[in-house]
Amino acid sequence: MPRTFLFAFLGLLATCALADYDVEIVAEGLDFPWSIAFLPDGGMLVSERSGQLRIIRDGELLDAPVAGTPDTYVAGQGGYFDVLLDPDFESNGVVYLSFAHGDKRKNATRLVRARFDGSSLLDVTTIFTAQPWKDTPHHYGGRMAFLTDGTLLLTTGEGFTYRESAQTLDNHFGKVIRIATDGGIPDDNPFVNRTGALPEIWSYGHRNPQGIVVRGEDDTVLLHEHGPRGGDELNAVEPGRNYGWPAITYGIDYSGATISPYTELPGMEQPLVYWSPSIAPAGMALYDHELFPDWRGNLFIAALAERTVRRLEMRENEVVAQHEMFKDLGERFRDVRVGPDGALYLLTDSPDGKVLRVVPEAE
Amino acid sequence: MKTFLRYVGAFLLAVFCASLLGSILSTQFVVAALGSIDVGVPLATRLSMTARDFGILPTLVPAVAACFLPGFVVAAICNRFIPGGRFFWFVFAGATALVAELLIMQAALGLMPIAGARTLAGLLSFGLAGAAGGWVFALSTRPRDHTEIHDA
Repeated sequence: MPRTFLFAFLGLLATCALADYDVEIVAEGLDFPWSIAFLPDGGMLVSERSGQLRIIRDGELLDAPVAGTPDTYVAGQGGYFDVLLDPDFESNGVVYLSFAHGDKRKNATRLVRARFDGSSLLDVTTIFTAQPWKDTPHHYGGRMAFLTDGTLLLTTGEGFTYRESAQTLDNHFGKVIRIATDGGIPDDNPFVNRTGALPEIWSYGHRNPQGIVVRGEDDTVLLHEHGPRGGDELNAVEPGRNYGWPAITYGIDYSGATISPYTELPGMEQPLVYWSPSIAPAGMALYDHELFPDWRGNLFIAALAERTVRRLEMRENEVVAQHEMFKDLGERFRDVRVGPDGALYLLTDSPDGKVLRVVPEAE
Repeated sequence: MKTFLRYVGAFLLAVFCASLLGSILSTQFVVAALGSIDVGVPLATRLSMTARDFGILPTLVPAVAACFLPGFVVAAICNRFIPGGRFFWFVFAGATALVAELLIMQAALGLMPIAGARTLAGLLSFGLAGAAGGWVFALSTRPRDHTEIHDA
């Protein structure tokens, strides 16, 4: 039985339309939960960065994790990342899991597909491994989303140390990659015919993108990425485009040093919005449900450093207002999703991580 | 007391010089890395960027001081037992202390915290900055009676 422990909350900005809601705990005791997927039977799959997939069934977190899951490299920011159901999950039971693969000297973002039978992963097949190897446990990206044509997008980070590689097409550092669900390469990928370019690349010049959603009505891909000190970005991503990192940035290095003297250069895309100081955006959802009618069309962004969920009012690709939510919880938020019931689900980033459910305030 | 203050002043000067040189060199390696992806930085922009990067000094100065202190103590001990190479010991200590500190930080954090030191050449440039700091310290604490000091 979920415990209601919070109350109606107001958006921060004066322009915010007031929305009353309750926040309930769905599950707690999760080890750095990273992502959540909603099963057709009402259950949920939750990935933990420590390398486990957990099941929430009938409102309870099961003790036993999903069996048959792949080994992962748990260090720094590495471990399990996103878990995503196939659009035809009800008929094929296929799930996709992204994670850090390898070891201290050689690791990379990897993507596998598998069948989920309710308790185990079966037929686990690697469909993508970023190349080349890196030797840092940071900046993996790891978020996934389906385009309406059924191809799969996966974000990859630039490994922190290899930031300049985000600007070259001979590697998977700092890219959005697009593949078919069997790992094949779509013929219409933007660099598929360019000599020296890796054919999976769909867009480039990213730093560490950890949020991606596809707006189905027009296939608009919205992506956010961590900046360094400042310069977190929300971008509308199009195939073949260069999003600038590290040639252009609104952030500076953690040391205080300049990364680039430029914030814009020809041939490089500008963000829809950027955040300085950083909020550390780590997960994103597009709300489109009647449960909270005022939120339809809004983007929700989980923020680690700011310890909020940002609600962005959008007019197509223009951000017209921002509201900081759930600040009173004092939690680092790793992910935000919209459940099939229209509730907002939040994952908190801690060794005692929680799944929270946001529903309209009880009368 | 006067000698003590002289050594403190020399130490601070050495730390500042090494930090300043490290900052300047680091910026040049970042500019070179931008050049490797065809992002040109004209001279005027390079100069203003170099000046702006002095903003890392509040971070760099304590870090350099933290490694110079044990490094120079070891150099002084070496000089006591193996006299005759006073400048060498302090220059060597400054260089190795700064490089060692960066490598230790890299191992602890899993990444190189200063972008200009990500490459071997960039790392060695910090060794050069450390060596310069050691040289400044050795010069500033040079015995005034033209005999080697052994009480550093």
